Amino acid sequence: MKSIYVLVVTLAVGLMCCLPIFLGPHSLHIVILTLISLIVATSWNILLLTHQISLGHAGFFGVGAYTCGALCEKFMPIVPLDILVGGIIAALFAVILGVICCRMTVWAIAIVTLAFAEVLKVLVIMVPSIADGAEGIRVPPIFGGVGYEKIACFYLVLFVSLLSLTCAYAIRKSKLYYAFAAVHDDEEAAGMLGVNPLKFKIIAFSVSAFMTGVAGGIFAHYISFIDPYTVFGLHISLDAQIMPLVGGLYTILGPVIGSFVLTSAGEVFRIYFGSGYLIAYGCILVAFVLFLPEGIVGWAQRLARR
Amino acid sequence: MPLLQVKDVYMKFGGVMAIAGVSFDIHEGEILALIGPNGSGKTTMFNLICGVFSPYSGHILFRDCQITGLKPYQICRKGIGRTFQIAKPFPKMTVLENVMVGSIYGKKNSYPLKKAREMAMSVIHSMGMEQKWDTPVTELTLPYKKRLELCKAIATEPHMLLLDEVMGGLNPSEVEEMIKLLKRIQSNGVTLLFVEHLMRAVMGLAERMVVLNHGAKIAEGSPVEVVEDLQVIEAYLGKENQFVKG
Ligand SMILES: Nc1ncnc2c1ncn2[C@@H]1O[C@H](COP(=O)(O)OP(=O)(O)OP(=O)(O)O)[C@@H](O)[C@H]1O
Ligand SMILES: [Mg+2]
Repeated sequence: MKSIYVLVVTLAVGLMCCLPIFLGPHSLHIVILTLISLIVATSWNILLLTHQISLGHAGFFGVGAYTCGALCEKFMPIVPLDILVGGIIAALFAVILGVICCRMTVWAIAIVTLAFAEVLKVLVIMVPSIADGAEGIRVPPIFGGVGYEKIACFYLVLFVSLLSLTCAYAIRKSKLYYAFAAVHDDEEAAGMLGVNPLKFKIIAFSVSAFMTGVAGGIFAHYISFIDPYTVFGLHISLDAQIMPLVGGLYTILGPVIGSFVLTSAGEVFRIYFGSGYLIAYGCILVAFVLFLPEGIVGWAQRLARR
Repeated sequence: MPLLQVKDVYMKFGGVMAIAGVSFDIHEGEILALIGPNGSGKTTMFNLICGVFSPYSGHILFRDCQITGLKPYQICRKGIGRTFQIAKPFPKMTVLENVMVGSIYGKKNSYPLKKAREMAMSVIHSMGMEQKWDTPVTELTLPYKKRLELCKAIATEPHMLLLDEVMGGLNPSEVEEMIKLLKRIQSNGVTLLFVEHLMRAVMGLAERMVVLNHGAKIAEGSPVEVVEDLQVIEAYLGKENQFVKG
């Protein structure tokens, strides 16, 4: 059984590596964006392991993106160091948020994180001295803007998304998983077994925020122009949770399947339904929540068990 | 020196005094029963010892060291284990994984995974749950849920175990088995403090007992002494004859 998994994973990664040969620039662009949202969705799913639902991952994404923008503008491009710094600053924000949220119910956490992202967005818009306000800023491309920039970016994003999946897998196989799951299911019972709920909730928050911040930084460099509406946008926070929801919450593959299914569905609908595609997209989501709440991966596992 | 000292502890919920000036000691290696009618404050007493609540006033000392104000996870690591009156399994995990949470995190220095797994497995064996080790906990029957609670607490390698109605809802033969298990746990050097309504189990196990009523201690002593205590019979045995029968 294990060797089958290894084979499938190797094949999938190999196939992904070959994609630039088959895809035109537009399709490649879509795949890159999909992979970036995959990273965010994977990190959102890690936070969920401790029963914390964030509606504000756009906040961490934007912090990562703007850190890169600001560092490159004020000093000089120090890629990929600035991307890491962006992740770390996002993680610091997460520690503060984690301390605030640790005694709250999931719903309160959702609202607090939503407010966090919105406040950051408004701050950047209203205070031009932070980062040129609503006008946005330029971010230099990672690979110097040469002809193969997009392909190079694709491989970078592919690499980082594989890293994020490896991180999710490592958590699943480590001691952390047991603490996360115990805190998720019953904080009081977890405490009685020596688990400090506060500590693990904050760990989950900062790991999740770091990964999202890194995704934001890569996005900024790839798009090479960011403004608050894009990188702090609600759609990022929504995608972050809809993708795991459709693919399968609490699973490693869930965000992968979810991000690819949803972006492909979005693209197909846009071609066939034109501007009405959002309606079709919304209908699919409602259908999933109603009929397949365990997600595609959960459903497949249930079939396999029969 | 007593292992655990409860000194003049008070606990208030809103305006209600749930524990009113309770003091008692537990000595190393003994089995102490905490009994009393419904709502008399037994579970609240457990929550105070375990750090779920901190007392309104008074002190709790474990091995001569103040534990009032510590968090539950810190108290667990000092060597106090606890089971819940209503079992609190982690539903997303199997039996083994549930027990492993205790064996990984229950001590000051957390065990590596492999060692924690072996240890959890041996606890599961010693509690007679080896056939259920890979079962999702949602599929367990009540007697096994109660045993799982025990396994999880024991996996933290406690010096003292607080058991909140581990016999509740068990049939007579299951009760017998549970009594045997508890005796075996005690013979391994674990001090037991248990709350129980079932008189047969209390009389069979306890070396000493403490009786609570409306949050106050109304009697303490050997089971025979306590049962003879008139005050107890008025406050408790008189009303709850099922208690006397068992
Ligand atoms: N978290 C809480 N908030 C408010 N009141 C509480 C709380 N926990 C317990 N109480 C009150 O404290 C009193 C003692 O309750 P406790 O659960 O300790 O009783 P008990 O002796 O364990 O009873 P039982 O035999 O039914 O388990 C009750 O009046 C209860 O309503
Ligand atoms: Mg109780």
